[in-house]
Amino acid sequence: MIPPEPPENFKEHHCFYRGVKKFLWRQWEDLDRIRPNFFMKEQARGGLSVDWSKYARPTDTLTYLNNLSQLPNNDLSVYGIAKLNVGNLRRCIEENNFPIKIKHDPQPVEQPDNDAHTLLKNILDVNIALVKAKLAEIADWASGMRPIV
Amino acid sequence: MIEKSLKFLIEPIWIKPKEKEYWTKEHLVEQEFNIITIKSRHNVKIDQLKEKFQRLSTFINELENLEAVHSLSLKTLKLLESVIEKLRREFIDVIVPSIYLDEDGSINVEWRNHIFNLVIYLPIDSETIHLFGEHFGHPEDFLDIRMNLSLIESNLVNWLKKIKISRT
Repeated sequence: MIPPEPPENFKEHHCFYRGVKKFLWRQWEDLDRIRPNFFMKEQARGGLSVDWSKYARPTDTLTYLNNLSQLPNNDLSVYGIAKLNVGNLRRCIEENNFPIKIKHDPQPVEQPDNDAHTLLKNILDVNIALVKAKLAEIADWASGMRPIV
Repeated sequence: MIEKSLKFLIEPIWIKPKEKEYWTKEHLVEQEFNIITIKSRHNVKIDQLKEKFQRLSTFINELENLEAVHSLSLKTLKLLESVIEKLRREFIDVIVPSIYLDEDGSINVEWRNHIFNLVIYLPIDSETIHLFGEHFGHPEDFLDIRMNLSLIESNLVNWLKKIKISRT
């Protein structure tokens, strides 16, 4: 496992990836844009987990989640992978005065270690409707990672 | 004659015109048309809203805390019905919002078009509702409040009235 990297190493063009479960996206009228329920308050309590593009591709995030559910690696029937661009996220945090901190948090998971693991901390210290709406606005599906209905 | 039929049609949402000169035949005919249109649109909207909650209940059935979520869903439906009804009385024709569940049963209401974006978050474990609204191009109308469910309705109605979403 690598040591955590400082926040300045998150470059503007980097992305964070996060799985969106079928229970959530199945409720949407269409999959053209990400809706505010793409993450839940409960999941964000200790920090919202995302994977940093410096160490992971969207397929790695998908494979990891699919393995947990004993699904084939590239299966897109349950999870889609959303991405947040670091530059857009920083601007969103600044414009809305969010107290959100981005913290690299490499984790030993079962196999292999997850060096990409990163946390968006303090996400619940503001109006949750506001933070959900704004993060949904800057989120998009990672290329080729839209779930298959 | 027109006035008589109009009285029947508009009840109970009669709004007295401010100026006497508006009491012309043309004005009354126009008002009659508007009222009929708004009433029928309103009924369609309430039906659409109920359909959305009906659809939501299929997802609620997949959750563990069924009863609590159903109860929150009912409260949300009542709130939205009441807001839409109050707006109708003000001649404001509003779109029907989208409703999404979190996996813990919390409810997200997303009210969005090219004029405004409004998100209401109703947590399953608290009576404090989070409300965020933005009126595109009007930063002065920014809405960022957290308050008890019992107080949210008037704030919601007032904000939607203020931004004049689409006055028929």
